[in-house]
Amino acid sequence: MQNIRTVKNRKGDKGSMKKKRILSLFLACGLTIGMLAGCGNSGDGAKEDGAGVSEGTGNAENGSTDAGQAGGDNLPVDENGNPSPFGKYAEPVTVEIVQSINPTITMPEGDTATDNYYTRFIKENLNVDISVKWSSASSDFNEKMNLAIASNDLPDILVVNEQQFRKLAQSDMLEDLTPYYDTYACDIIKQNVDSTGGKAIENASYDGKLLGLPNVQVEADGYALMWIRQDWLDALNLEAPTTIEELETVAKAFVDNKMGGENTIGIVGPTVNGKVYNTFLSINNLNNLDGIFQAFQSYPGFWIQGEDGKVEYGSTTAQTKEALAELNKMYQEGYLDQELGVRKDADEAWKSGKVGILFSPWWHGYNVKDGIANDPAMEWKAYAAPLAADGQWYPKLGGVGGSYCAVRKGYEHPEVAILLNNYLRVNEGKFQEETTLDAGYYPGRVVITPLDENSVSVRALRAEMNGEEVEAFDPVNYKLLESDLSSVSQCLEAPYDDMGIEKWDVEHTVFGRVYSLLMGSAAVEDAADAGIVNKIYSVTYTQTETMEKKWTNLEKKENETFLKIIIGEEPIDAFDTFVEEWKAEGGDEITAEVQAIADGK
Amino acid sequence: MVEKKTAGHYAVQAVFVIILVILALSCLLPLLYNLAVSFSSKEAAEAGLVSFWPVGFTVKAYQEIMGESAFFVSFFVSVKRVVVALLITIPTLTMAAYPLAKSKQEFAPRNIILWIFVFCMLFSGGTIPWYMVMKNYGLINNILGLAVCGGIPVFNLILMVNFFQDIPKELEEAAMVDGAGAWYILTHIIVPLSKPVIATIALFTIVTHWNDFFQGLVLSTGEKYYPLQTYIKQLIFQVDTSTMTAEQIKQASMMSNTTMNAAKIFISMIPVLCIYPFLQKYFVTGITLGGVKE
Amino acid sequence: MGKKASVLRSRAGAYWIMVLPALLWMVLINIVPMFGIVMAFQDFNPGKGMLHSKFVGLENFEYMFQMKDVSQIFINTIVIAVGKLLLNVLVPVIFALLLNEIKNVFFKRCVQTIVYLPHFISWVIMGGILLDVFGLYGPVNMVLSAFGAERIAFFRISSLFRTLAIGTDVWKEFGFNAVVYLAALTGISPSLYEAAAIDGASRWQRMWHITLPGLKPIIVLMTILALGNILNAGFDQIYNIYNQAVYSTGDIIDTWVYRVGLNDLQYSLATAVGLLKSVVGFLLISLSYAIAYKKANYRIF
Repeated sequence: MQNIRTVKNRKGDKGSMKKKRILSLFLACGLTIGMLAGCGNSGDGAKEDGAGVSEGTGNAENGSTDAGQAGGDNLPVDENGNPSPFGKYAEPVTVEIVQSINPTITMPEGDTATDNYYTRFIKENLNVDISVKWSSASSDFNEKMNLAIASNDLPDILVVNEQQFRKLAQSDMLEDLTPYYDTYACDIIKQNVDSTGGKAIENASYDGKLLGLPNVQVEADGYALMWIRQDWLDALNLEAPTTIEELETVAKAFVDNKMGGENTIGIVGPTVNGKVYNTFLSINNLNNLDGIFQAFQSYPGFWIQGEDGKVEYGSTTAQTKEALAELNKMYQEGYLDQELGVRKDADEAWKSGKVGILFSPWWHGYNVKDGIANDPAMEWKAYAAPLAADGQWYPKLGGVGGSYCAVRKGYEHPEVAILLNNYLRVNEGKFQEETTLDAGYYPGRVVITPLDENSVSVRALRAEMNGEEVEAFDPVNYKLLESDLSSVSQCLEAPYDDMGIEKWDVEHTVFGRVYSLLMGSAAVEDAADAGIVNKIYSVTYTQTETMEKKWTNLEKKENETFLKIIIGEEPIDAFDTFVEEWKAEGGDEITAEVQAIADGK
Repeated sequence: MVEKKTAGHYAVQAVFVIILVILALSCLLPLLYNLAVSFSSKEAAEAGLVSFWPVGFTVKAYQEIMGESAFFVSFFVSVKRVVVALLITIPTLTMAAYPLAKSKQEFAPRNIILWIFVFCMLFSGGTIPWYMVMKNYGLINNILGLAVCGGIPVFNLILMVNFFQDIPKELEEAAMVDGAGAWYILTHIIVPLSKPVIATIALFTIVTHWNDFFQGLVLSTGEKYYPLQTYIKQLIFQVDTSTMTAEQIKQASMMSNTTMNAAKIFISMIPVLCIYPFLQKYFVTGITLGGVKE
Repeated sequence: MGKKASVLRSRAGAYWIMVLPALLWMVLINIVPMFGIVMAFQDFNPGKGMLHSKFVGLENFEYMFQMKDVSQIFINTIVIAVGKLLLNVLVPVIFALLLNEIKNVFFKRCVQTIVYLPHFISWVIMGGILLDVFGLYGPVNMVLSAFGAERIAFFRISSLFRTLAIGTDVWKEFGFNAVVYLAALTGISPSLYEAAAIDGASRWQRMWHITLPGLKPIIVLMTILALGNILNAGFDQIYNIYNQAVYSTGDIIDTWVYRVGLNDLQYSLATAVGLLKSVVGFLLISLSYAIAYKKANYRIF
């Protein structure tokens, strides 16, 4: 009996040993497959070069040689066979793209994501076939793009934001466009890009190489205007405020008179987790309080170079302390957003008619009709206010762009990225007439506009409305102006001297743009004419090396301290402690780096 | 029922009922609010004017979501996904749980295997390698891919193992004495007694696969392959302005749609709403001890 | 004997075949991608891939730990996670016990279904709803001001934040979490209740001596498995209800990593943090399993 049991046990042991071994073999196989799967995939991006196990350097050499060779054989040429910004390829070229689309907009009849007006146009005029690798809604696009970047699974041409662009550049995943820009960029694009004073090219370059075609946005997008309820002002017989003291009076009057009901908000703050002021890294925050900071010549979040050449971080200056004290006062007196920091939705607040004053860019007018639907008397007007003690306006402005059209390393026809945008730029007007397909479907599109598009529009519109002659303009460069001019009469009652809200056709499709131009941009225009505009730029809009390690924490401290000072949870002197700690925990180091950037310019 | 029902008993019962009703109401109210918002006009919803009754009644949000044929395409993608997931998960887990519920003597490697599963539940290489691997398997744009991409649901497996361990050994032993093999025991004894746990796992599986939007987004190249939640989520523009360009923010501002958001929740909730009552009838006392003495 | 041995062998063989599909699934989808864990030890460059990115050892972990307020973040994470862990077991169990006392099937099913619905509302929406409910002019504050008390901006108060985070999460999930316990309750033989009733046991005695012991295994199991998530305080929720004023008590590991990632796509850091969470979770589960085994001779699985 015992013997048999022992035998059985031994067998059992061997059995279980064997099973353990099988199990470990299983795992070992699994992990090996994994390693192979991993490296197999990194080679995926360069399918045309064959399945490379090692990307990086190997491919770089392949890439440039191929580009040279392929470029040599098949270039976009004009009728005379010379490379041209509007050339056409002799042999068909395939471009793989990814699309960021708006799924709520229906496409015109017969158009699909892969076969539509734009793809056909491109085929006809460039002999380029567009193939869509994947498409997603704009809200999901960044996520998918980030994953594509991380897994080195890029389309041939890609449009990326600042952060993605930096990552791609640092990881050497982009094709150098320097040799192609001069030859292939069309004149208008060069003109628009140059109007930024070299900033656009600088932002799009890394290590001296141009790695993407930068977008150039309208300068107007950056100005934070004070939008105010004109109907409330009229009801209370008040003038629009121009100084901080006047702002205090008006806002207080709004709240005391319960103009927006029981919970009237004098000045509204940003939605929860929104920034209280624009920063050098994030410059498109709505409903923020920059307007008030600016009136103290305080520029928190920006790197400011003084007259003496010294660079300072705006959030550490004495003026900022002053501004914070003022904001605290406004909060204590009840007319600054009492839910500052935890406001569920600032838009909700003003659309329901509770808000008297908010700070927003010129295009706030696009959304005004939503508020009017709830309260037909709602009338918003914009002013370049409040002004500083010296009567000047100091608006913070953003960088020149933020998106780039780049080409993945190893693609044989990098110049296509530029050509696509050439055709788009000069044909935008024509496209608007011939198709309703949203321009977002145009492959490789970066928005390139003349910096002063809005101010030109405003002057032209005013001339038109006064019956004067409109200044001559280049319709290709100022592509929207034609339609702007004809739009006014469609949504505003003549004569145009009264622009009260009753005179507008709020439901018309062009209302948003025209109202925004004539209210928002016009305010900037008027300020410019009065000579009180002092544009404030940050020395840099991107991160330095030390920032990558330390900025998140410094920023966290800044945000927390400032908010608590404003709502009164911390005394104003906490500011001084903050500055000390900020400098010690990396602020000084970083300031030195930014100083170097400023000196290098 | 031999039970003395005193007044005290009824009082306590009443208290229980009140507590449960309050809990249920507290859970119901946000849903009613949501429902009201979904039937309200966009402007009213965005102004926060809606409480528990629609303001500016309109079915526009539902029309916009369900009006496109793409909605139904993705609806069926989700249905297929859930069905395939159930067909794969339930048998796989049931089969695996049976031997894993046994003791080390009966199935030697059970401890190691279980700990490896627990390890897998906690450790992961992250989204990036997972995505790369799925691509290499060719499981993009693929229902099978969606069904298995989450990896083995270890939590569910452990639940099942646990339940199986509670099944009295005598039932099995009796069958073994009669010469029943492992498969027979599994299918004729274990499974019939496991209705509650199988129903629970079915519910979890359905819920997980029905609610997922991320895997559907990442493993598809375009709208026509999206499961329902991925499809609907893209219609709702959630404004995270920190990494957006001015152009995008402009677009977002003009598109934001609170009512669509609300309608979306409702539409996606309806199937899970119906499933649970259906599965609840399996939550019945499953283990009968007839004939076997403890 | 030989026959029994071969029967055993074939039974064992059958067992292996039964386990096989699950193992295969695990290897292909769970184990294979684990090679990505190397990213935690690299300065990951997507252009070079995982085979060629620079190896930097523990640098990614160092980055996290040399942060000045790293302890704050860890404490927040653990406090919130533990709070949720405990209450996410306690409340659903109590709820299951309460429901078990109700005999009306229709009422039971209704309540069960209603309370499990908040689980399906994403935190994006729920966060907004909560901000409204606890907002300065929301229902809670209306009640407060009706009693003459001052209005409070609840979500802006750091000392309240963790409580709010835990409480709202428990409320949102208790219905769904109770499903497991409700299923387990069906495994308790009714004859036990009948016998006890005959012996004159009160409702409370029945609950204490029959129901709870019957639930004990599943409660212990759920608690131990939940320990695996000890460093997961719930990004979705926290991200949608936190704000700059409550960073000191509400900023958790995941929200911090998210903000770092906003400035710079940080693959390696995210992987490192994930690895850390996994290791800690795994250690805790193993530890608690060992304790349960040694102290109570209790095998959870």
